[in-house]
Amino acid sequence: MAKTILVVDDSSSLRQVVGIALKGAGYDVIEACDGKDALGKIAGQKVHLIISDVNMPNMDGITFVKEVKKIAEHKFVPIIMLTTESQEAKKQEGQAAGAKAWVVKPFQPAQMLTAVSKLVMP
Amino acid sequence: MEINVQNTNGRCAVALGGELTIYAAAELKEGLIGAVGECAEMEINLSAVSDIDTAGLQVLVLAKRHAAAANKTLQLVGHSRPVMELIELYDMAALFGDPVVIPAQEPGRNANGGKA
Amino acid sequence: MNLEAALQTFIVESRELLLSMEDSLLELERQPDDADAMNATFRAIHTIKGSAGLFGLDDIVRFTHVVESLLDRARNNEVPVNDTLTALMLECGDHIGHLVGTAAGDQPADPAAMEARQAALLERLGKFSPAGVPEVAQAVEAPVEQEASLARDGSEPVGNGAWHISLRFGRDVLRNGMDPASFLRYLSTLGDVVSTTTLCDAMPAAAEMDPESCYLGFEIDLRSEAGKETIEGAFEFVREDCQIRILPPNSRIGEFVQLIAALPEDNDRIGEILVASGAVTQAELAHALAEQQEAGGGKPRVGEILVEENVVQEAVVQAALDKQKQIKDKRATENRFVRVDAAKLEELINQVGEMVIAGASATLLARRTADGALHEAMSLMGRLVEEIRDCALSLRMVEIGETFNRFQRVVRDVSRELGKEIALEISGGETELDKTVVEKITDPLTHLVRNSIDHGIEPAEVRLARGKPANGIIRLNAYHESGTIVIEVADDGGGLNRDKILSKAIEKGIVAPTQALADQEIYNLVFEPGFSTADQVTNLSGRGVGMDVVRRNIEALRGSIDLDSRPGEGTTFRIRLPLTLAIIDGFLIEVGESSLVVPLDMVVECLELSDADKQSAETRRYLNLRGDVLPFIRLRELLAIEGEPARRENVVVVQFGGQKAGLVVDQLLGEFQTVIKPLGQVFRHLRGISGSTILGSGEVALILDVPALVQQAASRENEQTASVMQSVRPGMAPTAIL
Repeated sequence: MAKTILVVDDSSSLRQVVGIALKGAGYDVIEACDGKDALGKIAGQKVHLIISDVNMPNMDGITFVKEVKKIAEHKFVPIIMLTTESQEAKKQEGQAAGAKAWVVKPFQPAQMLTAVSKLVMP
Repeated sequence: MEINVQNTNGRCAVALGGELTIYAAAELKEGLIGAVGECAEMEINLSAVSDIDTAGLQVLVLAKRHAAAANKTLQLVGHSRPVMELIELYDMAALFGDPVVIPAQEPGRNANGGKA
Repeated sequence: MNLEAALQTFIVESRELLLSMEDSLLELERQPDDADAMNATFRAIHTIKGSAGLFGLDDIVRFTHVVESLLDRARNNEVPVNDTLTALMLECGDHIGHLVGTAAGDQPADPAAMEARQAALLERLGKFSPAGVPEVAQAVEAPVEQEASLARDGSEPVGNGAWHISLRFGRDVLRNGMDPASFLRYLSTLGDVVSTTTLCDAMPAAAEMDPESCYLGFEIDLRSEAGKETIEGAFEFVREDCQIRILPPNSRIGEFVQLIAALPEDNDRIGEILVASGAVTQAELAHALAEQQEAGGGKPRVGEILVEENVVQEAVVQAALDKQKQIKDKRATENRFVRVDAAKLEELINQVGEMVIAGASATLLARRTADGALHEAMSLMGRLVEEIRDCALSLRMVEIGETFNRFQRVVRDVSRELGKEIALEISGGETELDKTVVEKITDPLTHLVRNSIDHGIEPAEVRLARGKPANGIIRLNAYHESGTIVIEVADDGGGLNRDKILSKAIEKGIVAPTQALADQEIYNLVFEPGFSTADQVTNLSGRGVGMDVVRRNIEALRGSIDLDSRPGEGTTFRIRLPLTLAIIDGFLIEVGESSLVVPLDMVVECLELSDADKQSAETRRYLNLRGDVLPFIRLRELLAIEGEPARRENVVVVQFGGQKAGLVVDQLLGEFQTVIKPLGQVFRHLRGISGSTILGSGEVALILDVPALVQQAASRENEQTASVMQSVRPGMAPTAIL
């Protein structure tokens, strides 16, 4: 059974490229464009890993992580945050909220796959 | 996760099924420790376990130890593939010491579908 | 869906983001404190940068990075939001639009103008940065693992070749979604997990056990070619709440020790030496330093902490300590040095040269007088000039050790490339020679060392089959010998194949099939132009640069090269070079009207040519020197000097490279300080003459090329051999060369 990964980012091209890479490696992928959209998409859906941007309209990444941690069936899911070097404070905030893994933007698809495979094998 | 305990004259047959993951770890712990308390001998069938993670495995280790501390026998049988894989990854077959796991190194294992 | 489609999405998306950014910026112009507009502007740039990175659009990443940094600071009120900023941002937005257009495949109307615009924008952006310096974004680094330097060419690590990884997971890892199982699975993608021991002792009794906490620890042996950073990287997401110890395989100790020895000497901090070698990771060092800080008062040393925590073996730390000491010693010596412009030194040596000539001239004049006091003064003067000359020359002398040390890296890299295990042994590193010579000797030496690695040292299987240790050894050695420096490059390889060289030489027409040659002569055929024995042209030695080029380079330094080889035991190349290229002690001789100079270092003794010898010399070309055969050359004949020989002729016995020869001359004039002037281009082809000098009288004297003469005399001793030498080295034909 393939593992399911939720990719949350407001850039549809980023979602597409990450999606292509993850699907190519054998994962199932769900895409969402912001925190709110993501919460709707994972309701009642088993997810093995979440990859989320920090800066997003409607609901930002930090709020989204805090929300995920409140949902009984998702509270233990590993979360990779996408940060930038200039966002050290955001990273701390994300970690405190429960997102313990991070990948620095900009990244290349292979870097993302390596990070993902440390947490969930396909 | 499903847990089904059948107590026949102090001999417990526990059937576990579904996902033995961290989400069910508390429930699993309660169920198994409770069952150990009520029986003299226990057998846990894992054949219907579809997924197991480290939290689930830890509870199995706990149950095994808890039983041993009370001088009771606890056997794991019918390991499903996910269970077997995790035990192999952690090289814990010896720790569990269950006969079903040890022959896992024999060809019988492959007959059951082999290793991924 | 494919990547091309995703790129189209990126372009459309970026254009939309730029449009919305424009709206936000206009909003900001009206309402500079509008946080939403500020965030939207930042987000647009941030998103474009993030996505551009995925497509490898580094130009866009670099530019947007600078813009993003400024916006981030504006967002945090570190930079005032005013018309200047919004105007600049609008222009940047336009420029990003152009960059995106280029990525979409539009040809920019005027690429130069676009570049100029970008430079101008970057400069304006730079004015906002804290130090006023334009921020330069780092290029997006491709995810290339920098482990190649530690990889072992896929050769199976021998013996205890496994990394030992000791893990104690934090209680919260499971709750954070980090399952130790996934890290173990990931580890198995880096290599071969030889054994895993799972420790559950931390798990409390049922009552206290929290089923969502992690109580596990692991001891793992991993056979992997990956470097320590990569292995440590497996745990990057749990490193903060776990104890992780990664001990390199014992088999790597030697490798780390070697790496440490080959490190450049720019850092004397023990921790950083260890990190540079790859034995310790940056994170481990940071941890050890923090520990040291905590310990306070009687601080343990970082190395001790690292060993105690099983981060690295003691032997590796010891190597780093040695390196540290070496660097410190070197620093200490360096501090006593004064840096001098090489041109000034050159000037000084030239002037000393002129002084030597002027001094000689004054001495000559003084000799014509009978003024005893003047003689004494001149003799003192002469001695001082000599001392000044030696001092001046010694200023240019450097130890060869530093040059030798550079070969640690060459040997390591090249042997790795070829899959051979080779150690470099260095001796005589303290031997000094002229800096200009050192500079020019590096290339030939590199070639010889590479050649020894490539062709000299056999593959490990062959070595083992021959009863030799699998690891080959290359030795670099240097020592002084009669006014020259000798540099040896030796290997303990298979030695040269005599028959193969001979047949190749015959095939190439270098020697005639009928010629009888000594082994030594056959070996030295490898220096002939157009000779190469390698059947296989490898990446290393097959570059078209042969041994002939090596010999030519060395001869250009007035040096020589030869080799010894023993089948199965190895080959030794021996380079002989003059200690300096500027001034030598000469021995002045006269033939007819011509003055000639022989480097004094090469003169063994002088004798009178006896009548008996004179007679026998008519028929044979050697003298009897106290029972030894001494081949000789009549300089009068060789140089075609007119006139009858003096009634009493003398023989100057010279020696070079273990061979002696006699030079028959008219008169011995004695020692003479010689400032070597190179021969003009016209005389470059002359053999037997290596340079000229100016005598005190203003006359020109030629300096004899003793190595060439010795060789020629030796070859003439045997007519048959002599003909070989002629065919081999046409320039050395014993005909008149002046």
